[in-house]
Amino acid sequence: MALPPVVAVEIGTVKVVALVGERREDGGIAIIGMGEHSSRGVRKGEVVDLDNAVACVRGALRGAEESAQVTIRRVHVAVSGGHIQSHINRGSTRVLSQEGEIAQADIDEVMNLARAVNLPPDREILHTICRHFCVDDQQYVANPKGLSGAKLSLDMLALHGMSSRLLNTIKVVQNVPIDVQDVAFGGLCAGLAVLTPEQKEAGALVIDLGGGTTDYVAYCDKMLASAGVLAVGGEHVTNDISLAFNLSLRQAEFLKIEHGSAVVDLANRTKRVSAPPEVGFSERPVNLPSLHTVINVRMKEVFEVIKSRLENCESAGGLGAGVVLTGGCAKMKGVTELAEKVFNVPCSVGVVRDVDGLAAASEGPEYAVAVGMVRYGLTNTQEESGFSFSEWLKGFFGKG
Amino acid sequence: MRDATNERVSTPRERIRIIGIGKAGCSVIDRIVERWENRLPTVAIHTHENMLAASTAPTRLQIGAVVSKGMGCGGDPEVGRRAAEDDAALLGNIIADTDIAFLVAGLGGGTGTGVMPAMVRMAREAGVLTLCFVTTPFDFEGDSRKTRAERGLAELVDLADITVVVPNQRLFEVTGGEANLKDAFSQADEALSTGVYAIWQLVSGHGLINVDFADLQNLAHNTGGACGLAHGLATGRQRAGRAAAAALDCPMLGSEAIGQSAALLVSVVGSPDITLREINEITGKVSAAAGRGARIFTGATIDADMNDSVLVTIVASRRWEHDGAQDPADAASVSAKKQGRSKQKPQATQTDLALTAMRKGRFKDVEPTIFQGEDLDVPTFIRRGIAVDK
Repeated sequence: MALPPVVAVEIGTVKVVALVGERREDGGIAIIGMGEHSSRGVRKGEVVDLDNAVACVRGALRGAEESAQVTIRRVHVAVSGGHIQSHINRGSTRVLSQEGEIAQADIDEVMNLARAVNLPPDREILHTICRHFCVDDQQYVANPKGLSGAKLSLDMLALHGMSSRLLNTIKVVQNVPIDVQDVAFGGLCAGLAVLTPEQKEAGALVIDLGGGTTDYVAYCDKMLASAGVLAVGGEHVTNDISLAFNLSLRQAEFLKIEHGSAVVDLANRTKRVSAPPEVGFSERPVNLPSLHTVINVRMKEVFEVIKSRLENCESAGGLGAGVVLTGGCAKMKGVTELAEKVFNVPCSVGVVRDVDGLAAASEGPEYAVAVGMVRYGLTNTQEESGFSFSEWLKGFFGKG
Repeated sequence: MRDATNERVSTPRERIRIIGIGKAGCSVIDRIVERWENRLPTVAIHTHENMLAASTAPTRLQIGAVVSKGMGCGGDPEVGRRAAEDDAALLGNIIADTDIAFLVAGLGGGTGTGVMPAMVRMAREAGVLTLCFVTTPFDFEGDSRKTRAERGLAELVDLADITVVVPNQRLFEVTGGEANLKDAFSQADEALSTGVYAIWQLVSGHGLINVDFADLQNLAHNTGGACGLAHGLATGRQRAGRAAAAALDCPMLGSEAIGQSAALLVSVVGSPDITLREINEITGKVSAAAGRGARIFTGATIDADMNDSVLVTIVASRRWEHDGAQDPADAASVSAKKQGRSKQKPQATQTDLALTAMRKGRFKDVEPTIFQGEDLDVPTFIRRGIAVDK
């Protein structure tokens, strides 16, 4: 292998996942090791208890080291949290080169301008992703080099988050202690893991239904059109169930996984289900349609919030390839059906593409973020500094 | 669906109850009894002893004798709710051994608005298909009544299988406020009783073209939100065409709303001499008025008492599988619930959930997730005021 293996860590609200992956000869990814640990000290994707979180990450990394037979020194970390936002920044410059032919210098200049996003001091840029160039009034120019024009503009999608929160996630890994090689937005990773270039071109929305957060990225014309996080996830569903039926969180989680459905099943209107009793919580039968209603209204709301955010964002075009769901909640019954109703486009559960190795990691939608992070890491691994734009450019123009 | 019809020959007919709740509900029931002479299985429920005594329904049930002292709910849905809770066993008897329950009430008062959701919940728990027929108040009845009705309606839309709404204010707007008060209320009662009768005919009558229980379930499953109601009656020459036209122009709904509907349930009730050509004419007219892609369920039945007339009744739903096609004017209360969510939200929680309204469980100590003024950490069902059967 020409490149060293990449270790991706996702510090989720429910569990910490560490994956070790390397590039296959054919360009695909082979997952050679995996470690998992239930997560503590993380709420809604953000660290609330450093020591607990560090212990969990340590546990997951140990598992990954054992299964991959490697020693892990550096990792790539996928981050999420409600503080992460995206917006489009446009940079414009006059073409200075001779005879109005756009040269590399003009492109570099406009990139610098577009990347200079004005942010409050407490926010940090996570990614800047080149969307498209405009030459004079010609929109959607993929590669302006050599074209003629007087004015060159570039639309850049900037993903940014609160510096302190991003730093806290990094700090967890550094306290293990392990070096953080790069940081990427979890939703972006999910998109990298499951979308094919054809889907990106047709327009697709990837929603990662995580435990603490729901991350989403929308692609349109091969380009990232919008991205963001809603700090509502599977744990909210569990919490809702626990409050609705006076159950412990564990009982609620059991009901959610065993009997949960995102659409109300009218065929079983009188059916009752129950979770095993626990200390302080008796075994209480719960009306199945009521359970489904509680889940349905929550999941529907999540989808509707995302839909309204996409509608507010003018760049969102059609979703020809539909909605792809990843994350643990994507396994819930009826969730694709519900998403289809809300977004009115076909919806499917994401399957990671071009990945082999450990069966669990290459099949479950809940590992999409970690697998995508491996892919991101392998693509960007030559560049040590992270956040590298030229790499992104290569990623988006080279591979499509 | 036609297979189901064949099956029906061997299975017993669906057991149906038509239940009027509160003042408006009882008055609709009285009208049904008067007009169709006890052929429909009606029940009147009220918290007001004297008003109930005046009802002509064959079965009458007084509830909440303790909380309301037999004097009604005084416009407080909470009293109605408690009345329903107190006498849950009595209400349970009414819906026992029933397949389809038609619930009729005027929203905005105490008994109808309070008892109906409780009753629907009970019915659904017992596996009964619930069709709610309700009126919403006139604007001049005051804001508090309107707010109560909106809240009640929002609750019903979520709970009931099908909710049919007759917005009284629309009558007011159509007549330009010229109709006298008694006529206005009477027109609303007329609309509701006709609607109930027409659907009852469909599921219980001797159908020429059947719309059966399975179709209703299909409708209930796929439509959402409040449905509109229109009817038209005509006698004599060209009766089919005129009845259809009258239904399509019905002030309660309007042809515009029909054009925007995603699903239509059309009931044609005719005297025994009704011809297929007439039915064909009616369906043709309705299809022409309906928007492209609208699903139309047509049923035709015969009633020997129809005396040479044809009754066309249309239940129109703006949504099919939540495809989002909504008529903004007509769905006033529903869309208010959807769009003005943040505005309406502070009062949207139910009174019996007040203590838990701000409960966030495990998220109580973390930074809240706010979207358009709503704290998303609070369970959605609490914010929407959806009562959950434990």
